[in-house]
Amino acid sequence: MWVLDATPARGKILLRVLGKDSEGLYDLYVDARYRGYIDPLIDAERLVKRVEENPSIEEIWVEEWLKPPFYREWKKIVAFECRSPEEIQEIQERVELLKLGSRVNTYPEILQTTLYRLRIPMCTMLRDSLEAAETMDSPLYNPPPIRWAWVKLLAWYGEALSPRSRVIGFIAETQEGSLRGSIERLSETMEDLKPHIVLYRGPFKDLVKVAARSSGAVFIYIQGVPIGVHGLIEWCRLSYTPLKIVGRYSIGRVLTTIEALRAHEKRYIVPHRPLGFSEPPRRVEALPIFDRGGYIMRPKPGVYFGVVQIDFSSLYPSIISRYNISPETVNDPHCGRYVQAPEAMHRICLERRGLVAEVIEGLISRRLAIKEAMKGAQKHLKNVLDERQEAIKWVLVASFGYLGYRNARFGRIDSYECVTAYARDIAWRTIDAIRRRGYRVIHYIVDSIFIEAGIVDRDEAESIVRIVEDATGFKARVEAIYRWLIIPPTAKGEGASNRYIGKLLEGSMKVKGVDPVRRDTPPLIKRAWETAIEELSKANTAEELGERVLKALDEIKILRKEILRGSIRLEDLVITRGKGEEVMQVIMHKDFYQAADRRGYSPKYYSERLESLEKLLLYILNRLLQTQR
Amino acid sequence: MGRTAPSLRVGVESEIERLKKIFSSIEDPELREAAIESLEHAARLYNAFQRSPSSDPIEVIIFSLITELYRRLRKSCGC
Repeated sequence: MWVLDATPARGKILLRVLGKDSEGLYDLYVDARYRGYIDPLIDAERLVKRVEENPSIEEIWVEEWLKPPFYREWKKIVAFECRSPEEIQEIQERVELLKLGSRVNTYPEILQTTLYRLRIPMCTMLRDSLEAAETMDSPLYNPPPIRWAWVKLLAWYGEALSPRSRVIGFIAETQEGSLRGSIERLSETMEDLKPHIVLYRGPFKDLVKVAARSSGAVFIYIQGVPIGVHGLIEWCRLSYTPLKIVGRYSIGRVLTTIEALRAHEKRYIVPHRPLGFSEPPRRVEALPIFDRGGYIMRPKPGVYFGVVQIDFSSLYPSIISRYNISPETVNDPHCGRYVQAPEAMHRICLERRGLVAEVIEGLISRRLAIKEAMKGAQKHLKNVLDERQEAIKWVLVASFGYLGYRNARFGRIDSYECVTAYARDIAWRTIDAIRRRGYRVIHYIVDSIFIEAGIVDRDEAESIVRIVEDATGFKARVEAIYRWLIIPPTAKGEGASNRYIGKLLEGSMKVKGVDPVRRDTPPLIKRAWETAIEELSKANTAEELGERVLKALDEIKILRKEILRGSIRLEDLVITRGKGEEVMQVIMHKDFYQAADRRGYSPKYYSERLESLEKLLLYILNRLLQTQR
Repeated sequence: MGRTAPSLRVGVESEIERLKKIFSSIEDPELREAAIESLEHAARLYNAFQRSPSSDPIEVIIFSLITELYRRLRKSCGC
């Protein structure tokens, strides 16, 4: 069986369980006591005596844990158990009010720590005795055989993303395919589909929640990154968090939960509030030294032929793991054996493994194992594994930012600075090594390098990867080989980081940072870009590229005429702007935004939005002519 | 977290904007045009300057102006 959801109850935990037959969900109660901790301000034994008579306390005792910030000294703290999380909270608040101590180990939430202690992992195959029937460490597990439905609500113009939209229908995407219907039929459809979980992201949450509940499904409202069901399952397992809770977690919270559970294991006290390792006072002239991010070498705009893009694999997490970077290992005054970060910034202790470094190392190797398994897997399994590795990738991406976030439980600006210092050092070593071999570096951004090699040959690209790996000692891979790469100019005539259009060796196109991939681009403009890019994709040489640009310009002319004539479908004009609750879907009407429900239209606006595409095409033409001369 | 010091790129760009205002009040139109044009090339070397942890934006601009002058001289003498 698999546990999909858990809710605290008095003296118990209510589990929503999916049986082996994978039919409906059923409830299962397991006995549980909830545990709270207090860091005493008076003698720990005395505190036990003062509190033990409280009728809510089932048991109370003293434990020894390691004290933050450097986790070197042991400290006595009071642990106690009650029958409900509310009672724990009540006692902790009372102790704080009487100034007898302060609560600790409150992160992650009490439900997760209880599940962790009882070893009841979420979405994991369990025996009837609730023991895990598979190893938790292996990333290659059997996913629960759940039926899921991703629901999207529809307005007349497409997906209803704004709270002001008028919902008229829905799409339910399931394993078997997608179903569409009018909004009145949502509950009925859910009852027919009988999903175990219903996922939804957007406004009108209650509408979908009611329909999900009526079919007996667990409703999961996705607030964080929209990852797939198997990605959510991966997060659940790693963080002992029920699906419905993990759905509303930010990636950082998933990471901190994993770190905090590891901290519990190592008996590191997790402070109730962030440690507040605030930035040390610094002189103004020191700020540019410390306060630097990753290295970015901005590209020169232009059209390049035979370009190789090489990316480091999980560079920042690998730096954290390799150099043992963690809040408690950086500038530890009690450490005798350390390494100095580049630019003589900070000292990193090597005497013991850092908490963050250890967690990140585990995640990196888990992801690598999944990626390895993907190589020989069949399509369905490959997709499942891909969602899993993608979920871990998101956590790894957040790991570096959270290290520098002072409100993170395990964040400290000094450790963050160590990571960026190492990353810059690696960048320069890479660029030097590449240049020494006679290649030209066009662009470098944090962990990705673009090299004008004048070749479109995979073997030579791999040999450049080896140059990079030898120079840095970090794993790199060929991200792309471009037959040609266009770096468009900004309004100031410079090249912008991470904005380009390129044709890959395999024939497909890679587009970054330009209009068609921006969310606020109306479908009409998106299509115009897509048509132009499709046209450009037919070119391999400079000559062919010139011809295709001319053709694309002709097509824009036709589209512009259609815009001015007003013969464009209204659905193609909707612009989506804003985030979360603030999402607005509008159509430009005489230079004002109009709610998409009230239909209006400004040909000028849409015609002007085509201009950036037109300008880019003319720019390419210009550059090609210059090169020919 | 929030950054506390502007990046070198932002520093260089704001210095260029400041100097542009000064350069635009040069009386001689030919000199004014040449000065502004060279200034527009001034951010060229900022990528290289990022290697030094404490570069002053003005250093970047002055060095860029010198190299631009060198480039123009080479072009005009044809060497």
